[in-house]
Amino acid sequence: MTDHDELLSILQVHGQNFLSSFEGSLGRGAFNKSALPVQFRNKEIEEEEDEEWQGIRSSSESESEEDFEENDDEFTAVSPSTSNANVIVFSDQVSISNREQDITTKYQGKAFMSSRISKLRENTSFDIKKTSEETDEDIKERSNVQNDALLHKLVHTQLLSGSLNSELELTPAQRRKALSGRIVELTGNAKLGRGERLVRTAEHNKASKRVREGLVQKQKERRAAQLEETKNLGNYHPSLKRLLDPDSETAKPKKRVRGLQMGIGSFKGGTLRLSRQEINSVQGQRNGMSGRRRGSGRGRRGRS
Amino acid sequence: MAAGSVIQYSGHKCFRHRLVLSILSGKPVKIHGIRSDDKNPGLRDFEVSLLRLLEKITNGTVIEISVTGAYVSQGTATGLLCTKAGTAILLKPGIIAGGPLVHDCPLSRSVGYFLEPVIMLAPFAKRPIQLTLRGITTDDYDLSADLIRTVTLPHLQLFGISDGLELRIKKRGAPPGGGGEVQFLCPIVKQVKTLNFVESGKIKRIRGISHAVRVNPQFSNRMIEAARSILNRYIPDIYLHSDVYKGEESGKSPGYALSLLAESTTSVLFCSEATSKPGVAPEDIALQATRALLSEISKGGCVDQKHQSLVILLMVLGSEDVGRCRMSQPTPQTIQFLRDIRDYFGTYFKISPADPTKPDSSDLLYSCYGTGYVNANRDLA
Repeated sequence: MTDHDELLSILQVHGQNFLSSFEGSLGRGAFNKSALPVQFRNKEIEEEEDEEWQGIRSSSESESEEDFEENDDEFTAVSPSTSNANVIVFSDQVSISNREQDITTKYQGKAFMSSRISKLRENTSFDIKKTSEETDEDIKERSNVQNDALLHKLVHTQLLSGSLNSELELTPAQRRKALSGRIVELTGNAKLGRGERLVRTAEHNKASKRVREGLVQKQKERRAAQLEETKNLGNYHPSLKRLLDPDSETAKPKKRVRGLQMGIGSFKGGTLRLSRQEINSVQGQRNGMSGRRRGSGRGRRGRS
Repeated sequence: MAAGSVIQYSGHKCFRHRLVLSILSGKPVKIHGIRSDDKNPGLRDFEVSLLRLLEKITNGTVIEISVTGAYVSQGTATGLLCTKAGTAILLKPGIIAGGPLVHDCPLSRSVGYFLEPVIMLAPFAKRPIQLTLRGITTDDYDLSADLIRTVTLPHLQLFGISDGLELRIKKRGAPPGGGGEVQFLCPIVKQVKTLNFVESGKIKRIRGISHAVRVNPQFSNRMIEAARSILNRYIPDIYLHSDVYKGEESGKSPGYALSLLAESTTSVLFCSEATSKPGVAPEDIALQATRALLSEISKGGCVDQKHQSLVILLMVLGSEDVGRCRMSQPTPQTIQFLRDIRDYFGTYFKISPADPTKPDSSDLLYSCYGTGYVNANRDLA
């Protein structure tokens, strides 16, 4: 048995030596050069060779990431630092699924013909799998309503808040008010975009009676003038009422009537509830209404 | 700019290089004896147009052209008044201003002739250049706009000039009618990086652009088929784009051409092209381009022969460090360019065999000590 073990250990050492003989750069260089003409002539043989050869593919540039994953073998990379030559795998194109291959070549093609030089030689760093997953998720997650909400939030928090934007040339007082407005919005005391208005009205309220009334009067005048201006220019639409006159917002929340409206009465809990007025509107009332009739009444036929 | 440091040359060869070196180094140059023994002596119309273009790009340049004895000196903003041929010119360079410019090129040379010196100057301008050139876009003598976009400008990327670098081909124009338009946008840099490019690698893919204007669009496909018939033997990754322009954007004359480029694993680019000739079939044009590409690849190196001058110039203008590049045998223009660089910048190149162990390899290693040229013109705002 010891002989058997000895033989086994000798065989193992031999195997390790065999594998390690392919690490040296000289050995690899020789292999690559001799393999080149073979590679170009016969693709199938080259593929098989590559598949067996996975152990040293650590520094290879493959045509696409799919190759690397497919050909993963037990012989994992020995060490990237020892390999000097770049190995390129020209694989048979049907091994990559059609859609992914189309995306790569289409993307590369468009990148090649673009006029931007930085985009010209963008290689297959374009990760196909990740983007396809992302598009599916994107479609599921974001509906139009959610996009609207996101836009509203962004507009009022990042795009239009002027306190930190140096291009707007705000005076220090304006900047202070903008900043405090944003803080009020963040604490939740005001709706998005209305924080600065709240701060300014609070400050107006601190003024004396005459000043306060004067400010309110002036605001009304200005708003009326603006409304007239938009109407004159032809830019007005009733849906803009909310924008042009922001104080009238409190009148807005009317409860929406739910359910199918059949026209008469409300249908709740399996019963149609009619009010007296509704019944009367359908039927005519006898006593009270007859006095109102003139002309084409039933009981009257001219004066005779 | 010390007095008496005017550098003198004679002859019309390497005209563009000498002007570019003068503008970059700030040393005035005098070129005399331009075609003095020729039947039509003096500057040609495209050379005068190039001087006009250089005057537009720079600010404060004074160009004096002698017309057989009578001096006509020009100021800065007035432009060149006299376009008659002159056998001697004196160029006192100003600063490279840049900015948006438009230039109409004459129909004797393609826009590549004018674009190459601009590419050498553009990264060192005061403001980013946006140059629109009108004329012939594809020619036999100079690089076509396609090759400039796909090969010449990526060489600038090696030196750190890439963000905002663009060449848009708006219209194509074949000779003799022209009618093409290209727009060149280049960012400005403070200093170019040192190059260390010694690995050639192996060819991994071949790309090409085949275009046809005002002829049967099938010519483009025929050229692609003919080129593929040779190239398919070598590498599977070949993609030749067929670029067909129609209508207004196709210029005034019919023509077709095939531009090929091969890229290696270490992003070395080799290029070749062939344009249409009357009476020659498109398949023959394609075969001509393909064979030229294969011969360029066989010469080896990291930079192909047409771009040696550009790479050498940018190596000289790099930071004060040793730059190395592996290239094939220098062309006669490159040799003269190396001599001119020694005159202007005082930099010598050390050229040694790249692979001493392999006696049959003709690659040479060019190394030099950069001058540390800093773009002092640039707008710091």
